[in-house]
Amino acid sequence: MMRKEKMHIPMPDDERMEMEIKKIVAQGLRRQPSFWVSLQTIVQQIGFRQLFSDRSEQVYLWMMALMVGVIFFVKPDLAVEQVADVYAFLFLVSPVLFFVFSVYTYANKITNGTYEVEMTCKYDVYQMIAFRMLAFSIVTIVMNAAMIAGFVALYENVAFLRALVISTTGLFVFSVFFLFVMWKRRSTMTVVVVIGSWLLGNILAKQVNASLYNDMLVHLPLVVYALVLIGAAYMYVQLLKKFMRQHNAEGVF
Amino acid sequence: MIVLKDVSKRYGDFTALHDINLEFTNGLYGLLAPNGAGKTTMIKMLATLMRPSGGEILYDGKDIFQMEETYRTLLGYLPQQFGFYKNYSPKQYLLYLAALKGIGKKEALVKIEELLEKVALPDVMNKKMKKFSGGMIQRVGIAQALLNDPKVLILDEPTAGLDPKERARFRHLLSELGRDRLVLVSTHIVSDIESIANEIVMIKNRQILYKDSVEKICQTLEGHVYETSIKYEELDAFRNRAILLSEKQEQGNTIVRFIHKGKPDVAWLPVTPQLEDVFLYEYRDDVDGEV
Ligand SMILES: Nc1ncnc2c1ncn2[C@@H]1O[C@H](COP(=O)(O)OP(=O)(O)O)[C@@H](O)[C@H]1O
Ligand SMILES: [Mg+2]
Repeated sequence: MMRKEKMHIPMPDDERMEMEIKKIVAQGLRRQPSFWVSLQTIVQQIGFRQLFSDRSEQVYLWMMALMVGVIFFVKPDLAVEQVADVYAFLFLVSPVLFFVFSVYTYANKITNGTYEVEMTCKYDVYQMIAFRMLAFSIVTIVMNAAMIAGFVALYENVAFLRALVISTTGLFVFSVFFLFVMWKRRSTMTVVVVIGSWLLGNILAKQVNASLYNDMLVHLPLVVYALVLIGAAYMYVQLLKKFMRQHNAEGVF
Repeated sequence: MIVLKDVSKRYGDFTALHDINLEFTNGLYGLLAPNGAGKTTMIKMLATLMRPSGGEILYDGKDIFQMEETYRTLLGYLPQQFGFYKNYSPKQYLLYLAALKGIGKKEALVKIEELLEKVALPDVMNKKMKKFSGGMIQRVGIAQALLNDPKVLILDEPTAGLDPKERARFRHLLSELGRDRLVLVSTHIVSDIESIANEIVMIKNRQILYKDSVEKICQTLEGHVYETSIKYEELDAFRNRAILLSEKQEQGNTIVRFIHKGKPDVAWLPVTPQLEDVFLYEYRDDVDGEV
C-alpha cells in the first residue's frame, strides 16, 4: 500500500511553504506571546461573528438586552428620587447579564453535545468564554454608556460619568470574581455561591443600611470609584491572561 | 509519535485502564474491544479531554497536556456522541469549528467544500442539520475532524449509524488518511478495521491484550479453528466440547465454526483463523448478545 507512493515527492506550493515557515518560526519563538498579541491573533482567526456558537445565543442576547431596555425605559413609575436605585440596579445588572449569558452558552454546548469537540480545538471553550468576556465587557460598557445617556436625558439627577463609572466598576469587579472562580476550577456550587453572594450581598447591604449603601453609590467620590475600577480592570486582564492559557477539559460547571 | 507510559485511569474506586504502555507512529490503528472495555476512556485521554490518573502521554517526547494548543492544533477528534447546533447547516457549523481551530475563513471555505464532497454531503451543505439522519450527522463529524488536516486523527466509533455503503466508503477514506498520519479508530465491529488497519490494539481486563498486525493476532489461534457440519440436535452437546464461534444453517445441517485446543476429530476441517474468531474467543465471557 505504502510502497507505490514512494516515488512521488509532493512539493509544497508557495503558500503552503510560507505557512510552514511561519509555523516553524512561531514554534521556535513559542512560549508565551504577549497577551495582547495572542488576543489580536484570536480576533483575526476567529472573528467576532463566530463568538456565538449558536443562533439561539444571539436571539437570547437580544432578548436580554430588550428586557433590560424595557425595564429602564418603559417602566413609568421610576421616580426621579430613585436615583440611588438606578445606580444600584446598574451595579447589579451589568455583570449578572454576562454571567447568565455565559452559563447559557455553556449549557447550550453541553446539551447539544458540542462541548467535547470544541474542547479539542485550538481555541477551547474556556478560551472562547474568556475572549467573549472581553468582547462582552466592551459591548456592555458601550451599551451602558448609551443607556445612561438615555437616563441623563430623562432624569437630570443622574450624572453621566458617575453612572458609567459605577456600572463599569460593577462589571469589572464581578468579572474578576467570575474569572477567579472559573480559573480556580472549583465546582458548580462555588460558581452559584459567588453569583448568589454578589446579588444577596448587594441587596442585603441595601436592606440593612440603605443610607450607607446609597451614600456609597451616590456620594462616594468618583476618584475612589475610578481607583477601584482601575484596580479591578488590572486584575481582570491578569486573570484573563492566566485563564486563556489554561486547559482543563474536565471543567467547572 | 505518541507514547503512552504506564497510563492508568480510575473513576473513583473503579479502574478503567491499568498500566497501559503503547506506541503509535504513522499509520492506521484499530482499537478493537467490546463495549465497556475502556476504548472511550483511552481516546478521551489522547484527546486531552481527561487526564490519566497515573502515567503520561507523550507526543514526540512532550507531554500532550503541557503542549496545550500546540497539540490541539495537530489533533482531529470525533467523539462517540457527536453533537451539533440544531439550527446550523453543516457549512455554518464547520465554519464555526474551523474558526476555533484557527483556520482563516477563506481557507476554511475551500476546505469545507472539499471535505463535504469527500463524505458525500455536498448537496445538503446549506440544509439545517436537525433534519439529518444519524449517518449524515456522523459524516459531518468525520469532516469536522479533518478540517485542520490533523497529524493525529482520533475517531471514537465513527461507523456507528452508517449504513453498509457508507461504511465501505468510510473504510476507503480511512486507509487513504492512514498513509501519512496517525489514525486511531475505535470500534467493536471487527469488519470496520480488519481489512484496513496496519495494527490492531485490543484491550482486555483493563490492559492491552494485543497490539499487532491482523495476521500476527490471528496466528495466536493457528491450528485451533475448525469448521464442521453437525445435526441441529447435536448442537448443545457440541457446546460442551468446544468453544463455538458461529453457526449457520445449511440444508438441514448446522455448520459450526469453533475453537478446540486438543486432538481434533478427523471429521473437522481446519480453517484459517480470522480476526473475528480471535475477538469472539478472547471476549467470549463478555460479548454475548453484543456483536
Ligand atoms: N465517567 C465515568 N464514571 C465512572 N465510570 C465510567 C465513566 N466513564 C466510563 N466508565 C466505566 O469505564 C469503563 C470503560 O468505559 P468506556 O471507556 O466508555 O468503554 P468503551 O468505550 O470501550 O465502551 C466502563 O465500565 C464504564 O462503565
Ligand atoms: Mg466508547
